[in-house]
Amino acid sequence: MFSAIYIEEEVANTARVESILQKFPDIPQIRCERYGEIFNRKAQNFRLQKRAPALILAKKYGKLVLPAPAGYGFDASASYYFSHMLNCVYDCRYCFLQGMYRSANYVLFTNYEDFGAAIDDVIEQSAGSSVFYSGYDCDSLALDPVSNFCRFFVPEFSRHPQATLEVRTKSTQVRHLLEMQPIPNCVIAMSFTPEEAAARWEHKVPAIGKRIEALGKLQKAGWKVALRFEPIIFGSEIFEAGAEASDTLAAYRQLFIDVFEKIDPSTVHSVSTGLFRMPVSYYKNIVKLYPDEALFARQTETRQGLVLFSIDRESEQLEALEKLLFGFINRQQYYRCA
Amino acid sequence: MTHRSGVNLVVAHALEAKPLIGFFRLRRQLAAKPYPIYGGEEGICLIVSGLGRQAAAAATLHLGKWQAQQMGAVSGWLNIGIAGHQKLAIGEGILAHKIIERASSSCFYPSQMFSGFHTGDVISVDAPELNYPENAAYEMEASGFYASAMSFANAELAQVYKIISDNPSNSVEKIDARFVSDCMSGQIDQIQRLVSGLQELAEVYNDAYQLPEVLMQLGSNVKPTVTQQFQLKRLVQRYHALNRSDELNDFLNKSFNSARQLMAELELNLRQSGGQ
Ligand code: SF4
Repeated sequence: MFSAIYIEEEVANTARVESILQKFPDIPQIRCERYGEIFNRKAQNFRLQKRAPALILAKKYGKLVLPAPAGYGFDASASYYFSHMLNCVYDCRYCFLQGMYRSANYVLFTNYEDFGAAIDDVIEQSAGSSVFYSGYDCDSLALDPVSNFCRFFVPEFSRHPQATLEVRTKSTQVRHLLEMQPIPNCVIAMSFTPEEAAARWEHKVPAIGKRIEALGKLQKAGWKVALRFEPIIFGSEIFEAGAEASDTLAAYRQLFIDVFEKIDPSTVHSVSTGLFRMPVSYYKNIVKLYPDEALFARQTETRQGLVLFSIDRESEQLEALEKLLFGFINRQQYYRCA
Repeated sequence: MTHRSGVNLVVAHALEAKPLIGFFRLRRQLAAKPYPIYGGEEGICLIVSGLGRQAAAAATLHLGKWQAQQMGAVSGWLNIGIAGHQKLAIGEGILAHKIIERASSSCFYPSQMFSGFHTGDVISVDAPELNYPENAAYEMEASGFYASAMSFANAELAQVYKIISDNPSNSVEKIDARFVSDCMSGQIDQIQRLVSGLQELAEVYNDAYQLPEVLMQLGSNVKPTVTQQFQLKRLVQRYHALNRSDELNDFLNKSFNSARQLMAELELNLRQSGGQ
């Protein structure tokens, strides 16, 4: 699972770290002063490292809860995100994390209690309701069997009914959640792209059918679930040569059929779509990392500091996709990511 | 299997080098001076650095620069040698997962890319350590080697492998030529596994990042500026990525007034027939 485990001296003797280490007695355990010595060093290659990533156990300092980027979520309430982990066990070729970090190793910040206190503070200072996103810099559920993220953070939010926790994921690691009593202010948001896109770009990610099944189990158990159809990448080399955007629409039609066969739309918390978009600097880094990737050889354009793929009749295509989606859900459940 | 990508072995002493030279069938490269450098058909190269971290650093730099003139592809780097250890038995091998330079307290962390090896801390000292105070391998070259290797490769492609020659119950004085040879030979399978692993990784790296030859040919007639060289490189990479490299041959047969014109036409062609 990991090629090695690096352990910051400061967290080395904490109960959480010791219990993680006990699970991996045969993996090299390496002490370090600060995680940045490994994670932020120069002369490392994300792409090669992804073949044998290591886990780094560390303590997070500084601001532990940050305002969410504009347009990130569903709710008009004050939005925040927190990152108990950096990087993801999956390897989606379109993922911005590849352009954001030098290292493909996973950093797990184990001072959950500090995160909990920071969340308490923000909630106390917020006048009304608030939303907290987890899974911005990682996939929160993918490593849950190791991190015990849910077992700590779900009870944290059960004490704050006025605040909502949204966990973004592509993972099927839902066992801990299924063992717990669902709380109304926790939303599990599962991301999907059509079968062809998943096969081409979502390496190591559980199959779409398995994800639908896991989400269905959560919904049946009483958890609030949400659907994120992101990133949308229109007409592409995943289809036959000369394919049009309409082929993408056909693929989405099939995806919606598959999803809503198992997921009851009437109780879905929210559904969103969003085009592929990425900060320019991350995109440049990714192009350097994957100069041979067809996806990044496409025509692009830049809007407000974000790189997007150039698409003919973009808004028309998006509207057509939304129209398809409204055949399954009502408009009040829907938002388009900015 | 022949590899396009190589692996450089850096060893301190001729006695450590000898079994490796034999096993990998390496021959002395006459052109290389002042260090003894050996090469073979499988892309493996060996340099004898001399003792100590400064010598290892200098020899690694020398080999890296010498090779840069010869090839251009990235190679794997492996420092191999004998070491003392507090706990490990004589003849055991240890892949460094952390290198600590005793004099400066600097630490290096080679990425752990290979499974099935015993791994541990390696401490580079300036004089032989006879008391083995920590659970680590004590030797004299790894930190110098690693710091220099980082000029030519990344943390995934540079590794350090040490074979235990002395410990609290087997003193340094017992080490002689035969003993060194036995130590190295006893670990040859593991060394070969590491060399193959590094070779494969370097291959992956070079496949992804080595510049297509057609780039030089395209650029040779139009004299691109430095900025234009980058732009032209990216255009050629896009053709490759989109599996349209064949179309570049048409451009080789045409003449262009300037790099700008060449790039405009390459770009236009991508847009027109690619649908991307
Ligand atoms: S699942 Fe999400 S975070 Fe993980 S690699 Fe894919 S896009 Fe990135």
